[in-house]
Amino acid sequence: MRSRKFLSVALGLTTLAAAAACSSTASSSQNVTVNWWTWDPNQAAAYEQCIPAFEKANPGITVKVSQYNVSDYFTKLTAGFVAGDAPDAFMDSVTYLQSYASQGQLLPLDSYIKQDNVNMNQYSIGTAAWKYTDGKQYALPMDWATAAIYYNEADLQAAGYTAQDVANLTWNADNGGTFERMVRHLTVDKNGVRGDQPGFDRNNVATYGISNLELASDALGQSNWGALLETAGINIQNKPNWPTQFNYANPELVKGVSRIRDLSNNGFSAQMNEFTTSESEQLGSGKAAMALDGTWSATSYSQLPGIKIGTAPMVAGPNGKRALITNSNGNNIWAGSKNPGETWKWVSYQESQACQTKAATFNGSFLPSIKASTDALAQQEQAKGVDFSVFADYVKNNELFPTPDYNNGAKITDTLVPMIQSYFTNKSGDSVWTTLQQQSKTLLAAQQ
Amino acid sequence: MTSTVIHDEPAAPVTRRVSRVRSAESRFAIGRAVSWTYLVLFLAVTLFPFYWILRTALSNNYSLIRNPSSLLPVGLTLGAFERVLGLASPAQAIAQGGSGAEIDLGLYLRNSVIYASILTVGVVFCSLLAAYAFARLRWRGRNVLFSIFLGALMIPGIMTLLPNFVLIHDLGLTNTFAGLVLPGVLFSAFSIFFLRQFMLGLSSEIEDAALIDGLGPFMLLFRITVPMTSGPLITLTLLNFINAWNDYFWPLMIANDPSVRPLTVALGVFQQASRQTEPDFAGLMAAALVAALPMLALFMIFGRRVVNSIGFTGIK
Repeated sequence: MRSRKFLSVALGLTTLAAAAACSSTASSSQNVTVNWWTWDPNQAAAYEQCIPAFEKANPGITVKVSQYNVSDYFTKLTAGFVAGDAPDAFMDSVTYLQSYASQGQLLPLDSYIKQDNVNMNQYSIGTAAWKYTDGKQYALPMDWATAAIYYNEADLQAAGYTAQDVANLTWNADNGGTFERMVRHLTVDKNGVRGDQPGFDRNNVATYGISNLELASDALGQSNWGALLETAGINIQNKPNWPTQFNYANPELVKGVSRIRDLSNNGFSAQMNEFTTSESEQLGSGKAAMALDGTWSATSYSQLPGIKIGTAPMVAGPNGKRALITNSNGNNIWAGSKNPGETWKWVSYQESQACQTKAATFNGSFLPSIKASTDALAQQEQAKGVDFSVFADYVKNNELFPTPDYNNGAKITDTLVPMIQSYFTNKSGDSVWTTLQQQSKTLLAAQQ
Repeated sequence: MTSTVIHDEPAAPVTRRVSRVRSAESRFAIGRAVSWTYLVLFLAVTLFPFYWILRTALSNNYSLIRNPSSLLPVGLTLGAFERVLGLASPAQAIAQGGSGAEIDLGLYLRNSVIYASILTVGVVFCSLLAAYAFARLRWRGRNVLFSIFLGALMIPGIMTLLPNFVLIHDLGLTNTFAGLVLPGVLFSAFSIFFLRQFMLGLSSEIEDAALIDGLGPFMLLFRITVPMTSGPLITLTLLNFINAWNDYFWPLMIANDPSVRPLTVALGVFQQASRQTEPDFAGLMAAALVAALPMLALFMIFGRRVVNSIGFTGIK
């Protein structure tokens, strides 16, 4: 607060000096450049659409958007913190909230939010995820993403299913529910025998019922195996936020993951190491009849030539209700920014309805956190023939819950994911989940 | 006695081999066929990745998803190259599965040329001076100092990354060409070692003659030693240029500003956005191809020099 006051006084003084002397230093302090970073080239291009309107409304502020691919992004960010040339504001994943906030690299936004009367209720999801343990709000939520079912319409029809059938699937750990039944029936071997018919050859499958569910890049399996567990009410984290343990040893969870592993062992879904390519290639090339994939893939599925892909909501739990773990990236301001006031102006403009709608409808690369913008995007895509109503319904029916914040995000991913992969590739048995639970407890406790 | 044994032994098998080849032409043909097969296979394995780059660059991203393992370009299009060269509008790019991000190829190409040229000229010149001092001048502590220099060969680059980074930042040289080249331009243990090994083998008679004629050490270096070392110097220049051209991590750390960002870093816009989404494969491959073209041309013209470098030193 005090530093802001100081800054505004300083700014005022330099402006005065500029007016009086027209010196060269004045022009540099009048023209402020706000640097903003993202790892997503699509979002970089999308948010660039907001710059002209923003710069027009805020003369003297220039916005520069830079993009670095995700494998370099956080290294570069950390190096920037150390060297003091990190960007003024940047897109961030909740995985890094704890480490960055505890290191004092993030600027709390509460006073700005209060000063500008930002209506935090306009964000349908993500606000809570960006509150740190000190109770301060460190980011405005940018977007949200969760899982959905995509399916090959021709395969479905040939198997005698309707769009309604996929939309009403349920799953449970005891018998796999209607979801597993459909997956078996959709699977066809090289001789044309379906997965639930006698004589099915699991070693020579032509089309799998579902894309691989095991390949996860995070410890919660958010866009595949974990999504099934969570929607069936089997929670991995022991608390909604800042969990102290991942309940991997929960017998229900072990039962669930073993069902998922059996799907691939029995030839109903691809083995984890069978394809190096993502779900969209498995579905697009006809190797799988359905894919459990992220909401972010909807647009690209709609563009595939010569194949009709339908979109259905994620599988529901045994009680017919959905609980979808939802990742929400945030827009952080760096504590070391020399122009926090100007940066806030840009960040708050980015997360306003005007900019979110403009950016999201530019290339449909993300689902905006503001409900009205999501609706606008859904409308636009609907007109193009892409069904976004499924995603809009998630918000309407209150089926989303945020990814938990937890300590040591990066380290947990690096340690636990290989162990989880060893289970799904049949290199370790059920006991690995007990080890995983112990590991998670240690890693979640220590703030490093 | 011993000497005759040594002399006799190698001679015998040679005669035997020659007679065997003459007597059995069919076996000769088989040997040739095997070696040709091996060569062709080896060539195929080497060239296939290049073909795959070309095939992907000429494909449409969405068609690639439909048929990821096709051997021919899927949905044949030059769209990816248009995107790379900045000829496609954002709307066109999005329609082909690109991001709509623009890339100013000319600018980044210029930056790469500037960066690689300054670095190469600097490294080669400094290494030449150092190698000359280590190989041709006599001074106390020369060998000890050289061992210390050699020790620098064993320090992995990642160890010096952070100190270099903090230093360049404190000097206020981030986002400048000076900051980009400074850590590498003055010292390269490999280049010094490479030149020194060659200079050690030069005969001292010409130098002595020049000394008698009254040349000082600098004139001696530039008038006598450099012309005699021109081969390895060209090789070294090429090697350094290729290395600098391919540099990724250091420019990534230093060059935030597009006005100094080299091509390798700039091509990141075609990379994977997040772990779940797919890269713009066609764009990435087209960009990689365009970035590699100057290097391919250099290699075609000077390929023998690069291969010679292995002969000069016995190390890669």
